Amino acid sequence: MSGTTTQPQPNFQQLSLLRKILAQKSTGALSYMSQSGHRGEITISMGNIIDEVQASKEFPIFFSEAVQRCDWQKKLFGNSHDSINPTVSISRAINDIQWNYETIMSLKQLFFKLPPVRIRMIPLHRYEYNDGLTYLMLYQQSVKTDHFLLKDFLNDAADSEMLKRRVKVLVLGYCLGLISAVSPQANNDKNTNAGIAARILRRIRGM
Amino acid sequence: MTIKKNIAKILITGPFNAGKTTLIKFVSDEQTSGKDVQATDALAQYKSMTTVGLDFGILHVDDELDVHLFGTPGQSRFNFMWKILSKGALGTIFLIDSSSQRAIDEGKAMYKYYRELSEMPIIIGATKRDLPGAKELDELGRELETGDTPIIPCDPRKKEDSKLLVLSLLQEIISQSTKPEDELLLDF
Repeated sequence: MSGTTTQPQPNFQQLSLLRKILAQKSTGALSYMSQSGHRGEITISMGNIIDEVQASKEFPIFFSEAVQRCDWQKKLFGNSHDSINPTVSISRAINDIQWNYETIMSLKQLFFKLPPVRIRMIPLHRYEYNDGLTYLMLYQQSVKTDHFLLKDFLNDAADSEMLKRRVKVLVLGYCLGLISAVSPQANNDKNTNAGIAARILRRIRGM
Repeated sequence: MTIKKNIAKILITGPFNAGKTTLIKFVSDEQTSGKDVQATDALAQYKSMTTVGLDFGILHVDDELDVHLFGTPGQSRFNFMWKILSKGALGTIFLIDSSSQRAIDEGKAMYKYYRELSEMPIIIGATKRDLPGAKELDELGRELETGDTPIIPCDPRKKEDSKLLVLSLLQEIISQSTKPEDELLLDF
């Protein structure tokens, strides 16, 4: 066989899948094979982690590299399982991640593709995330404009260390559903609280 | 022809001496300040003048909408006013002097009282963070027991900070009233 082969783009579909599972409070098993060949599984009930020990081992690998494949299988688990909010496990894993340069750049390019977003503010320190300041900066930048692009946030990073911290909060915020799209149709109803708030928002931004 | 304007209401509250009057000044087109009088109670050692009555500001949004900003007096004995004013309000900004343990202790009780009365969106503005002994945001949240309520650092003496705090409240109102869109599921 001759000819050149194109290197496939790193696949981070596990992030989208995790986001969807948590948002929809699904129940089942999330299995994946990382780019380096690690096979792992995280069991989830109603959007919560069933086996915290298992999750605390898997999440650092799950977030650290691209995947070859990632699947979701609906399963029912007995009532005997305790399940916990996944935010702490995910925050801890992202705290400690050491991405290489290529991974950071790949994730950066993926976030570049997202349309305008809005950011939900929660105090992440409650969930043991140790860089609440970068998340606060993301949030503050987002409320100043009605057309906030993650691209702008990433491009503002002064150096590679800051870029890494910014990519981390985006991965965290994305997976937890704290980053959501701004729908052009949203907030158009002038009589709802959201519609009224949107009008005031535009006025204050212009002050 | 006279167009009847709709009125939206935003409350600015929290313990005394946190910057409520100053914040309202920066985000209003018209302002009527409550009367500043000499503090005569135990608070006099912390602040010589304090607001009695309401701070009130109007922000003209467009031809059909005005925002009324009500700053409630900072002493907890005026909590009953918050109960009256909170009816129909869009949301509340809770300002707190993060350098004063006394304000934090009082703020904790006030916050609990407000939360029991209403589920309206609320955000916390942590002020005076440049003063010695100011609490970090995580510590402040723990002491106030505010759960997942956003805490934003703010210096109300700066117009941009005051604007940012109100923008944050409005964003919170929008987030709480709309279902998250999920078209962000890209081909990652």
